Amino acid sequence: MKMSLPISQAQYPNPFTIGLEFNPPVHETWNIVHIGMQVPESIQIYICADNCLRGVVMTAAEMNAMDRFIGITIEERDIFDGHLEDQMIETITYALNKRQHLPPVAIIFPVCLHKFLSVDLNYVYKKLRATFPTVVFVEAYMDPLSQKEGLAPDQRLRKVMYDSIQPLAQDDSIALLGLEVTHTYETSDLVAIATDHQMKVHQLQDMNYQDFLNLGHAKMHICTNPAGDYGIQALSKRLNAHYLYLSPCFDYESIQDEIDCFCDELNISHVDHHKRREACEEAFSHLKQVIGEKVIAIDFVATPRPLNLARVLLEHGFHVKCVYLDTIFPEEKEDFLFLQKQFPDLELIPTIHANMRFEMGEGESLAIGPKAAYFENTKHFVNIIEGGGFFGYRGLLSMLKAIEEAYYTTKDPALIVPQKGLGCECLL
Amino acid sequence: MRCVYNRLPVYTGDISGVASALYELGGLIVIHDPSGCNSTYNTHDEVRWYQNASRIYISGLKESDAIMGNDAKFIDDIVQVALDQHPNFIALANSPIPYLNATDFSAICKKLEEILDIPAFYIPTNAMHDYTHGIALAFKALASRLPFENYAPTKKAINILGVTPLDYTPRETTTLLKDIFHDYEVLSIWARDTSLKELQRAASAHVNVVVSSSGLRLAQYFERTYHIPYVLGSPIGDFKNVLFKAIEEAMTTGKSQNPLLNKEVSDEHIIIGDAIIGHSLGNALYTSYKMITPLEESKRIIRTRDLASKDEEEIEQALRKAQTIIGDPMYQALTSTPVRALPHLAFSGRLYLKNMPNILKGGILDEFK
Repeated sequence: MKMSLPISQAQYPNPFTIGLEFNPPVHETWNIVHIGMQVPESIQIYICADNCLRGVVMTAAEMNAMDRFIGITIEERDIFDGHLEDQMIETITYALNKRQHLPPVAIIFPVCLHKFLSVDLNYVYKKLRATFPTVVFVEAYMDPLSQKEGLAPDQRLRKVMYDSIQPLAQDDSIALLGLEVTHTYETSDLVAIATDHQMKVHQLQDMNYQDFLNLGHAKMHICTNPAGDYGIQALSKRLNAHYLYLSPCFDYESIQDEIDCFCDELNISHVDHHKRREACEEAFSHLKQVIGEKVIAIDFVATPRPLNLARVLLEHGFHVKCVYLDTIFPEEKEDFLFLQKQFPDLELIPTIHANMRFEMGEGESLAIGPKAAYFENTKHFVNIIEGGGFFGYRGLLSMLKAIEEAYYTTKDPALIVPQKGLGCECLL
Repeated sequence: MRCVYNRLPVYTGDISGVASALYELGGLIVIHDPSGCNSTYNTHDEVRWYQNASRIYISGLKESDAIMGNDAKFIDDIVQVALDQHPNFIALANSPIPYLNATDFSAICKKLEEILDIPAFYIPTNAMHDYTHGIALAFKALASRLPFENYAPTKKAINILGVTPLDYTPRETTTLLKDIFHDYEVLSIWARDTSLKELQRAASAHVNVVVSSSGLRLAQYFERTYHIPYVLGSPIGDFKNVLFKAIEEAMTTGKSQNPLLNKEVSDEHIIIGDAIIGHSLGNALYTSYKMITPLEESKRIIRTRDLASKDEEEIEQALRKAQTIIGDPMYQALTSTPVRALPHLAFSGRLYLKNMPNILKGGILDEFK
């Protein structure tokens, strides 16, 4: 059964009716364990059924972080006796007392079951805070039951994981938060512009706990990941910092808007867009000469703006065949409507629909993103998640360069895309 | 302390066990779960997922549907996929929230059978047990719905029960097993490299050989229902000769045999893992040894001084006097005595997949001596 749908026939925001769900073996996106581990020196404690615990504890094991992980299982008797509060308090107390040193932060993950049984978590946290006054207990949740009708666990985690940071005297620094990829001077205009103006950009990579607390000094918080927007917006409000959500887009007009907005917030002069666009146009021409009519497939894991990227490539004459996505993000609505009119044959393909279990490409295309690589069965793919830390004109140039590299080189997706948490330490 | 895992992971869960047991049989396996079960399973507990397609899905349960009891969506979604994909059967596995709100899976199965005319059965998991329990439930549920055929074996016939990649990971496992048991006609292997059609011959076997604790309940079901005796043991090293003898004894007497528990218990040599595999290894290697098993279906296959426990401290205590320890490398976290590595997919997942030994090959035992 062919699952692709011409974009002209698709409906916004849900082009497909998804019933039973298939989980493709593509696991590069960071999960709550990877995300929580960004809090330096923290530990994570999960309280859940065995089957639920298995995925998170093995995530920790594969990223060589078992020493920062505690699992607590729930058995039937804990549920039926109605003692889940006591069970949480006793087991967490026991587990923390067994450690040689108490961590500064313990991120606690109760689950759907606690929510469903109305477990009194306020009581639990009150008791734990009284027993361990030096530990900041972060109130996270692993409750996927709620994610289709509310916030997903990772979205909420990106808010509460910063709970130990307190407002400090603000300096000129910028904190780029709510994302799991690193922006560099070469790949991101945000870093380049800030650095050129002698402003420090903080990102979570390689921080110690004091650096983490010092994020309270940042005068501005920026997020380029839609899944981080809720959390970082809330953090900024709490810390009294300026906040900007800047979308990692690829078309010149949007890039200009985002960069101008950034410069305005920093009170610095706008950059010379004309010169930068010329450089991008040259790069487009060069890439077109290299890859010609090579078929391109894009997925939503590679970038939060897959339709925007498809639009830009199509407008420059590239042969984009399809975009893999299950829903259309709100910030892509305009691109969706544009593509419907201008490129009606572009195909949309779901990734979790049950019938996708039996869809596998011939390996002829070039994929942008790990899910597209899996479904297209291609060894030519751009292996990035969450936009890859690409932003602005530098981001666009980096993307074009990555496409060229993918064209010239091969990698085995079967060995790469099932690995969890791209960019994290991996023992596999 | 009960339920606390400070240094070790948990074993693969019951839901993943169900999926692993039924993976190759052409059924539609649906886990009634919001998210996560399928990802955990295919990432850490399933080596076939990338290359071999199987119809294992989650329902994607939403909070409002759980609260309002919207089973109609669940049924409709299954019907749609069944109509598209024509499975041999439908198996439904439970997870914590439908377990808590007492979703009536038996009624749902009945409804599905009415609509689709495909066998549908329920496997009562709840995510709070380990994979051995899940596999045992799945095999038993399948066997109780399978229309067994009368088959006339050409020679003495056996089934091999309890073979999934969770315990027997290497690809060549079933080839090796058939080779080892070449004096017998192997009617079915539950459940790897075996079709549903072959499983339907299983009731015509003379003896069932149970090679992991996951297969024990199925063996007992066959014994009760079809009067087929079973023998516990895995054909590891020289222990296979003991096993062959026990199989002959079972064929002659019609009585089940357990040749695993005849040696003394000692704290000097310790084996950790599945009890049937562990005891078979212990018998092949030592004159006395101690078995430690954290697995639920293994608890019934231990001697008085063996240890059935998931408690990290109890296991740590038991390891203190050991001179040799055979087990998954992750148990090294509990002891300074070097653990002789026998990686177990159901424990360390993919971590040691590249160096997974095949315990059915003779040479590997020399490393443990």
